[in-house]
Amino acid sequence: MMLPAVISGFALGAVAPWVVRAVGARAHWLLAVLPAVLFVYFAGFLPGVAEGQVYRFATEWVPGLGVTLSFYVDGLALLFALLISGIGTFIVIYTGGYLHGHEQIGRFYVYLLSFMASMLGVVLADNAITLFVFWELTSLTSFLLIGFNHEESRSRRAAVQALIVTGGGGLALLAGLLLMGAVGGTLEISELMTQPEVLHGSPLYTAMVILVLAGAFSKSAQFPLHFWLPNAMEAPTPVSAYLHSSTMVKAGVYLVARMSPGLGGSELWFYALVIFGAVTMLTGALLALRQTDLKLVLAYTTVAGLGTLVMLIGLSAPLGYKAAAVFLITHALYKGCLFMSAGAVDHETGTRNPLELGGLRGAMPITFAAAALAGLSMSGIVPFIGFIGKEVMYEATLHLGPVGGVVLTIATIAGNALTIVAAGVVVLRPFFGERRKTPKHPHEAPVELYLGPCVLAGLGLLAGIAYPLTQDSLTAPMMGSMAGTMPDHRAAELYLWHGLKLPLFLSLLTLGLGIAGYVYWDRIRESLAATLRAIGWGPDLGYDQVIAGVEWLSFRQVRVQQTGYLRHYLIVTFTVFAAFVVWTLMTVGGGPSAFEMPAVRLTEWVALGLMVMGAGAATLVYSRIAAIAAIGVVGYAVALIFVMFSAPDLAFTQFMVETLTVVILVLVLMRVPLEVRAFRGLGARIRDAVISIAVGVVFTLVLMGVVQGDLDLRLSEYFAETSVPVAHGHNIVNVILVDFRALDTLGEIFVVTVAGLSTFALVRLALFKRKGGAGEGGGA
Amino acid sequence: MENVLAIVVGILVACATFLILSRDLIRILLGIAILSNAANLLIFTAGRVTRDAPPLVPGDLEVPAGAYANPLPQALILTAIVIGFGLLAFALVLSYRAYVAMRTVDVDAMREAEPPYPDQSPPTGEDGRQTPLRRRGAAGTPTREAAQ
Amino acid sequence: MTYDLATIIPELFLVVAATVLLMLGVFRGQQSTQLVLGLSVVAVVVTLALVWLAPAERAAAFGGLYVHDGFAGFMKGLILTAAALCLVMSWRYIERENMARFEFPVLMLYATVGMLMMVSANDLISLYVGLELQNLSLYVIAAFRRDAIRSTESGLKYFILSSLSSGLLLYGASMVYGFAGTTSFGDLAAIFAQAQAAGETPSVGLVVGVVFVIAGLAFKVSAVPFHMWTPDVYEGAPTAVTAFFSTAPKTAAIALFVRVMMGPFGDLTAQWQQVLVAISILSMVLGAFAAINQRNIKRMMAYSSIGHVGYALIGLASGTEAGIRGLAVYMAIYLFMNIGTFAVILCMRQKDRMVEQIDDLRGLSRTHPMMALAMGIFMFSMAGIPPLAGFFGKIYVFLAAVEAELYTLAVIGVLSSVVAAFYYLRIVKLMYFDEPAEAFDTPFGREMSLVMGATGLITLLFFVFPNPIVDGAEAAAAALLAG
Repeated sequence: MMLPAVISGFALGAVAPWVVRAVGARAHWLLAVLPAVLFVYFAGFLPGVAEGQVYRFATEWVPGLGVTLSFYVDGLALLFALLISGIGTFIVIYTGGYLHGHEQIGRFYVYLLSFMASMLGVVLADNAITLFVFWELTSLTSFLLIGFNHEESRSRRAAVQALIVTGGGGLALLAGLLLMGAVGGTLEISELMTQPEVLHGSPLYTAMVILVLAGAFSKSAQFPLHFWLPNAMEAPTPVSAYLHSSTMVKAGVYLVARMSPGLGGSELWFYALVIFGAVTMLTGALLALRQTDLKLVLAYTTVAGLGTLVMLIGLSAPLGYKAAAVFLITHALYKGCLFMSAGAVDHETGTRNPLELGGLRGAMPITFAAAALAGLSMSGIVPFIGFIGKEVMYEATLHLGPVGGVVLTIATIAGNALTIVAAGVVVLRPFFGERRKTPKHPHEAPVELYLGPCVLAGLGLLAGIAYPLTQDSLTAPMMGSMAGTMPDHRAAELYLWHGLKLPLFLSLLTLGLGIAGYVYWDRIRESLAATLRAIGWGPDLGYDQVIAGVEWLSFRQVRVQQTGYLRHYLIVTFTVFAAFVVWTLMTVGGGPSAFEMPAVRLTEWVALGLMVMGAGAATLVYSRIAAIAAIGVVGYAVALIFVMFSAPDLAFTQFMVETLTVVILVLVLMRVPLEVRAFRGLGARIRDAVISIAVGVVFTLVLMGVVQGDLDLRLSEYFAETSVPVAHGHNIVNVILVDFRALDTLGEIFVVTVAGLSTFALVRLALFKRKGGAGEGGGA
Repeated sequence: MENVLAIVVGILVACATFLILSRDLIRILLGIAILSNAANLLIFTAGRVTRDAPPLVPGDLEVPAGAYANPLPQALILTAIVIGFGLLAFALVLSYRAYVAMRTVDVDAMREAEPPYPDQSPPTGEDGRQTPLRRRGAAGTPTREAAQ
Repeated sequence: MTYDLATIIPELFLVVAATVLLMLGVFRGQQSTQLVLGLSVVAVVVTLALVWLAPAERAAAFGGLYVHDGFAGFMKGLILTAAALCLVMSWRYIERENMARFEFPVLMLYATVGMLMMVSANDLISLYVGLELQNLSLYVIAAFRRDAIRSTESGLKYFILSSLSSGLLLYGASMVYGFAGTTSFGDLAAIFAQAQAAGETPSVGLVVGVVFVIAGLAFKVSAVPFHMWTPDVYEGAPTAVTAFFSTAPKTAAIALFVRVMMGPFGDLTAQWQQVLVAISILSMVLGAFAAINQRNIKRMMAYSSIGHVGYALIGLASGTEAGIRGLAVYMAIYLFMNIGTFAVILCMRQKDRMVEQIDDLRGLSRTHPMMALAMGIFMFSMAGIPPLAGFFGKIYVFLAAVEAELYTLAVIGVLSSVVAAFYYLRIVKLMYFDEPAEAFDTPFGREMSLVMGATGLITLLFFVFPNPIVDGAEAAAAALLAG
């Protein structure tokens, strides 16, 4: 049942263009039925999961690798699945209004629904490989969605950038998962998470953590990889609201949460998450205030929110998990709502610059109401879920101890206060104050555009008021997933009223700071902008520099190793080769032992001397005819050696072949220029001589090493003994060739045939060409 | 004896290597010719050498009498000699054709495939990319959405 | 002897067919080219059927010089499939490029015979003979485009470097012989196993011999640092030949590599594993980095193939059954992706001329949407993006490496695919996001659409039906290690 639920999005996506064509402008209502049904289906798991049950579904998939299509439903997975399908429903509807009449809307639904299915796959997958497959599919669909307006060069850049950062991070994740699988002996994440001691004890633990976190951090836009997320705002608003605020970017958070029972608990894990999370939180919140585009303000606060979540999970304590669970719900609800309402404002007024907007509450009352509710939740006002979220967050950071607790609490207060300023910018600025002139005359948005914001904002209020329900069905089971065991009731408890304790005062302080910040926003924005200009560098530019660096490196190294000169290739081959052998001689040892001068007959000296002189002459003389003669001398001398050392057949063949060789050489060489024109320089000659001598010495040493050992002659003896009785031949060499090694002889015949055929083909090609036409082949 | 042959093989290989590294195509071919002779001699040496005892079974015997040279390398070398010859013949024709096509036997002139670098500019940026020369802050600037 | 011949029926059939077709060509003249080409395809398909029908159990022939087993069957299947597809793809190409000569298909058949012989070789010298048989034919077809200087140049470069590497291989074989007194894989394996069991350290001559053989084979599979011929030859050779080069001979050489390393040298793993790990890492990294700046798509594919060989060699470096299975799966998937990509490249013609610049693919999604879709699938698959076939190929070898505790190799492999993904995705971006360049000449021909469609579907739907390829690879790996 789970598999069809996960992949139904792909199926519907595949037919979406035809649905749009058949149904027309109201297709979105029909398409939204699927996510809605999925939401109901997932909601059916709530009672069981609330009691701490988990559900597992598995289907055999890739044979032989232990890769199953397995899915796993627990508190963490279920909460994400509900968010994905629930928000997905409204996003589909929203798209219908937002891209109304867009000619490519069918294509958009294809990507959007495929994304939804991939995202469900990520959060529900139990098998590590299955998880990775869906993980990369979300990157891929995100790439297609960001690049939806591919006429814009900025969209193209943002799409490719997002894919490289998140897809590349995904590959690091794959490496990490493979290591985990190797250490844990299974690829099922649920099983891996039950053996933290095995994972922690492995020498690969550090590598695993780094690789997994590289995947999670790139996907969840943690500093310094956060730059792709604001750039991704080039995508149409439904995409920003869905992928880049409430779902896809949370995949990294999901992964960290999913892995924390198995990988969590170490210092490395704690410091990596807390430090990166806190830095991301502050960076995102600060940069948000510098923006003058509603979507970019929201994008940077999303970065901040993701940092907060990573930091809270990194605390690796029940309070941290509780805070993370509550804040996850809070953030998804308000951020989805605010993105959609910002899109609605843009859609109706034609601008997203908060400085150009004002007083829209009269013209767009419903959108305003939704945005206001979401803004209150974002600012953490009673009785919204955001209030509870902030309380437990302070509780969690304060709990950390004297030094770390204070530092982290201050950072969190700063992050939250900055977030309140941002809430003011996106909610108060456009809707309050005096009406400004906008490119379009504003009206209330159509129902598609405000339905989603209203519902999400309403849920933000409801989740706060009905906090016991939130606790039992959503946050407590999710805490259980992160901690590895279900929390007891006390640890999971949520409160709207905590009593007059420190967290409440901190909340009030945060609110006060936030209000003050909003009042001075213009000044803050300008000084931030000035500071950034003064720094003049950022990770986004860094990305370009890395890409340019890689291209430069590629260019340089190709230029060095791929010169197009045959000689360079040969030099590399010989050098690597000699180095290889020398390395082997040094590591294995056992070169030749002492050299003893054997008894050499005079005739043998003559033959060997002829051979060496011939080779030397061929190397040193530049007259072609003399060189060919020298080559002939070498060949005949080899034949002499064959004669002297009992190989008459070889000698005979060698004489014949050598004669033929010389004849053919002369035939061909009569047609090319006789004098050698292409000389090497002196330096090149010395270099080549050094290489040549090295290669020659290496050969001699190795061959000596070989011949000084004993040779196993059993095979030769076998041939000699069976030659007459079995094959009825008295020439053992011939018997071997014809009877025992017939295949080689057969192959040899084919080789000669093909050599002949090839020569024939080449000659004919050359002839054909000369007949074929004038002007061809003349240039060189 | 094998030790002496090993030295000679080394000398032949060194000469062949020097020739193969040459700029002149014909000298490269001569190098290959020497190299194939060296290979044959190498197999021969690796199989150990014996004087004056060809691997023949006298007409009236079932097995050779007394010592005999190792027959297996000889069989292998016969295969190698023939193949080497086929290759060399083919190589000559191929080189001749290269000469006809390019009117040169200088292999340094034969590098159409990898164009000389001065003509090829270093990489240029992708579109939409900020070049490192045009510096800009980390934060994006507002953009218009073209979806509508 | 009859039993011997029964074992080599497929090879024998192909040799006879090639020779008959050669006669046909000689007697009927150049107008018979299309006929010869068509019959060549038939001959290859029949050979494929014969390989398919051959008994799966191991059969040795010619006194053990030649062996046919499940592994050989699988690899021969791949080689013959590649050969058939490349012949089909050259149908129109040789006509348009003035290469329509009957020698072309015949030489491809002879090269294929050589490859079949390489895959089944069970002796170092038989291996050398098979290799030379293949090489000779390949030199000529690389230089076949008679009016292109580059083609001749690439044939010549290929010849010189290749004969050097064959020489190395032969030298290595001699060293091994000088140590062991035999060149037969079976006997060598027994000797080394015995020495291993007796705790003897292998002699230097032997180790160097193995290194020589590895170097010679690394050249044939174009692994770094013996890869330098690849870009020049791939670019210079006629495109249909490049498609052939990048698939069939590569598969044969990889198969040979595997058989040599796992068979006779299987007990010397400690001696060669580090060398293979180094070769594999270098190939992956260099392939990825060097491809980035290429503008000629054939050169880019050359570096891409270097990288892919690096990935396939991960499986061999693992030295386990899982590794060999991964390698077999990888080669099968690589073959389909690569042939498909070359089918697209072969369709890149403007104004009756082949164009080869990557930029010529700009806006392909608008000028030829189906072709762009197919190319997109191939590029994503080569980049290893799930759920396409290329991803599974990588997963199989990575998992094998991890099981063999080659963690560094696996992690570097994964990370270098990030860089590789960069240039594959750039092509997707060009096709889908950029303004269209000039449209390509149509019609491409039904056979091209067929090849693109079939390879595209296999690449796309592998994740739904992985069993045919994976089961075959599994049986191949098991057969190799059993034998």
